[in-house]
Amino acid sequence: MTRAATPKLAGYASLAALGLFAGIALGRAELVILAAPFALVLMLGLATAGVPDLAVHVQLSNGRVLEGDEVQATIDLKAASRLERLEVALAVPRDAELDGDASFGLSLADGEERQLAVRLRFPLWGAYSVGRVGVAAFDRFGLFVFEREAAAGSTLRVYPREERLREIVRPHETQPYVGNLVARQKGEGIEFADLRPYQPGDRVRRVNWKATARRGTLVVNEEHPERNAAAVLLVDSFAEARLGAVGTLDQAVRATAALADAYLRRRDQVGLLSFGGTVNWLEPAMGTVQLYRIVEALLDTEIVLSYVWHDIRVIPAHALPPQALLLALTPLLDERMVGALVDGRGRGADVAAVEIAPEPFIQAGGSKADELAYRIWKLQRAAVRSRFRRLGVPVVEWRSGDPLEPVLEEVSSFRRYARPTRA
Amino acid sequence: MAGTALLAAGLVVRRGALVTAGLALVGTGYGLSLVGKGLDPAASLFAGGLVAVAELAYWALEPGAAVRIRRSATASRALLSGSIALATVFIGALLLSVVSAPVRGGAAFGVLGVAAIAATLAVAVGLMRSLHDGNR
Repeated sequence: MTRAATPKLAGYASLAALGLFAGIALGRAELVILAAPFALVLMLGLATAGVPDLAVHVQLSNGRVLEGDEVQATIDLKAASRLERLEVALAVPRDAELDGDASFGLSLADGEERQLAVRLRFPLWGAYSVGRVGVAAFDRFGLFVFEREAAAGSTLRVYPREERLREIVRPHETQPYVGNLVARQKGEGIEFADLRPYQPGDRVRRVNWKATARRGTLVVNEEHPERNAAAVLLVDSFAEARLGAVGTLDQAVRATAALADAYLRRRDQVGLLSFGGTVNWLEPAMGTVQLYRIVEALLDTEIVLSYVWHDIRVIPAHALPPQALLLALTPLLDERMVGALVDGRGRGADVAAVEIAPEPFIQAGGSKADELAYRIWKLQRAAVRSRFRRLGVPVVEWRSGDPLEPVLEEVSSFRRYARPTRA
Repeated sequence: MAGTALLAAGLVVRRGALVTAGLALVGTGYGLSLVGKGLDPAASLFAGGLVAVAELAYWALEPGAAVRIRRSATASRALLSGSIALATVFIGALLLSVVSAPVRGGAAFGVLGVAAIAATLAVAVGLMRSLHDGNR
């Protein structure tokens, strides 16, 4: 603990010295009587002021919560010596909302333990450091203040509250692994596909006896096998539009978590690609563990300003497997993201994009020049969308506050009628 | 009046130096009022009042105004300040009675005066050493 003198210390010392000297110099006992209590408090304060022995520990009621959930931080105090006056304040993390008090003034007896509760609510996803506590202890006479700051020891992970999706965008092609989708290929499965002549090695149970009787030769059934698909969710971290505490990146993260959950529930493989100032990826995989990996990786997503030109070549091949759907969640504010999607489409990738509309987060200026600039900017964005559509890439706008499912349905609808062409 | 105004100004702008100056002016004003008069029997009462004002003034200057202080801590502090004021009145009255007693011995008072100066200096030195040790 660091010790500092309060203004009272200097004040009392000055008054005591002034009174005593004046009293002795002028020979007036009354002035000495005036100064005596100040000198006495000083002497007693110096004699009794010792560094307080106080243990401080902060613990959270929960280390993982969803957006909007409440968390209680408990400050445990244990005094090894009497503390006449103690002030304790918990630093409230940015973007967190406080319910009640985070600062307390109290006194502790020798050996007393006390617990102070602070209720916090976290409306936004992310990883927060909680637990930084400032402590100030005053001596009995208020002459000294002993201060200490305990660093944050707990990390709270707030996960995005995802929308439960019933419909998603289906990749055009399947993967060779077992799943819930009916593949185009023919093989062994449940859905009838075709008939073909019997070949040595075919199982007897696959013989279609009616067709065999009609044709006079052995004919077997062919089915469509059940396969899964792969989707790579691309989060644009080049730039975002933000108004206050919310922005397009928050929407993208929530949508990505919802999509990852929806695809993984269907036994599809899901990968994550955060493409921006830094490039981070998770290779496609299946299962609940992959969902946790994706959500944890999303918590670290942030806009990193960079002027380095990144294109799709920086993405390793194993992060973007062949025939996987590349579903981008982007505000299309940065040319590098537009270029990467166009490039990916040109290389034959199955690309679709959900455009997170930045307009709700942007306030156009009041002057005529500002209005003109805003209109030109919107026209430029319309031109980009038109360019994507000509390439067969569906780009559907998603506004803040609207549900995601209709947007995904619109993307799927476009893909039904705009078949991809090979490069 | 000037001292009171300076004291009030110090509390408003939260400056310890102004509060100290205000209190010193109040004391100086009292000292000036004693010129040409005998021993003031109300000196201990004035001293008690002055130290009570000083305690409250410096208490108001303490940081952490937004902190909700528990009632027990406030009561404890108020009790201490009140005790200091009462003790001042009592000890002041005792000193007044000692001073007003007809005692001869100018040299003894001189020694007493030197001892008081020495005690003050010892307090000052102890204070400086204590601050120096605490800031290491």
